[in-house]
Amino acid sequence: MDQRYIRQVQLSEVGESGQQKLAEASVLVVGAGGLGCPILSYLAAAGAGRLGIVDPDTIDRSNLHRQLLYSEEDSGKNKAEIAKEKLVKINPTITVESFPVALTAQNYMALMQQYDIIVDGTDDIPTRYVLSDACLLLQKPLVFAALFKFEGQVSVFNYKEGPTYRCLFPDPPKEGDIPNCNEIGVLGVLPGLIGLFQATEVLKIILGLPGILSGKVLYYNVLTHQQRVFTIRRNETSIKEIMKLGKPLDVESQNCEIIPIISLTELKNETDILWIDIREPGEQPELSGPGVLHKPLSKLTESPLDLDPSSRMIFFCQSGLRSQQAVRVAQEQGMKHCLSLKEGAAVLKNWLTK
Amino acid sequence: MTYFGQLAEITGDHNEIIEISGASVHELKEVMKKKYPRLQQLSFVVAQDNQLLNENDKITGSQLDVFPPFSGG
Repeated sequence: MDQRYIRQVQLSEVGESGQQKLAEASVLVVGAGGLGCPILSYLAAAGAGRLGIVDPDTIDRSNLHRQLLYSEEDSGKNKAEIAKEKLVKINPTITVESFPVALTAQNYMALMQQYDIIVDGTDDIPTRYVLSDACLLLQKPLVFAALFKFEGQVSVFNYKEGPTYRCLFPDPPKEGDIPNCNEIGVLGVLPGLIGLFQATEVLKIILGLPGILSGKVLYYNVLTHQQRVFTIRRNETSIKEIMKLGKPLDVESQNCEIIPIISLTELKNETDILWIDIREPGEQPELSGPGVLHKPLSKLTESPLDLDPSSRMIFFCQSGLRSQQAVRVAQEQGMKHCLSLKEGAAVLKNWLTK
Repeated sequence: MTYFGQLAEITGDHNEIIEISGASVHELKEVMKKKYPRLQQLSFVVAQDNQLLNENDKITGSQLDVFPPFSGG
């Protein structure tokens, strides 16, 4: 027996047979970001035999405070590729495969079918629905987690005919309603903690340990250390709908409204634009000047825009997510020419000063 | 009511009391949306006695937990 694993093999609940199960296991981690990094590190160290990493993104300096598989010199390189290099160094006895692509309703089959367990480390809601539907169709357990500021939610879906993500949240929120970490920020330790809950669930599934979070969702708040577990029921109607459809149900087409988005690259030196900053007071960088109006999203519904409905407005926020929501509200208030800026405030600030 | 995630920010509190009787989850949500217009755009679910409820379930207990999906990862 490899000394590497001796401390976990010593546990009577693991033993040499448990280590063998780990060696034979295959786990696909979708998203190698804040959640993905701790999940991958611990699964590699524990000797999970085959790990797959799916991530199309490149490493950005703003990732480094929480995505500890990456270092300064990795900036600009693909996350899946670099994570693979680092994991093989942590444990050269395992197999690691990298897929520098986004998982979609079109390619899920090719990516997922070679793996026993799927882990959700993504940061957007539409992909979470794709993963949930795909795992249901391929009959694979899905170890899920998601974050909001100081809180995390964790569950194991589709495990031994347990409920799915769609059973927990039957109505997909509209694009832009739920901010991600790039949008609102995150304390680096939160994905670390929550990612380790996911890694724990993966190990429990592989080793056949009790207490798997199937049919339950765990809520954890790192400020209060309050922990809650809620039970979820299977929604047979939604499960039958997906099985009948035979492919993941596109949540973006479920939500028929299309929010008009514009990129700075499509704009010239136009002067008649009213830039509407919908960020909350104190968000950085601050942006002011002629043609820039501050209207925090939290106040938009209660105190409607008092503007000429025919003015050309471009709404912006930190990353182009909340501004989509603002456009929807402004349209409801009768504004006719509202666009949501694809880029965030920092990029806009540079563009405006040029 | 105990609120999680963005709901605590929108309602300005983690806990509050809403008085209703014999309502369904759907009816409760309508009351909440009237009180907090920003909730109209949000998707959220309600749990009673640590058990998630469906839209048509009747509310019988006194302690409810309300939470939205999270996105970050």
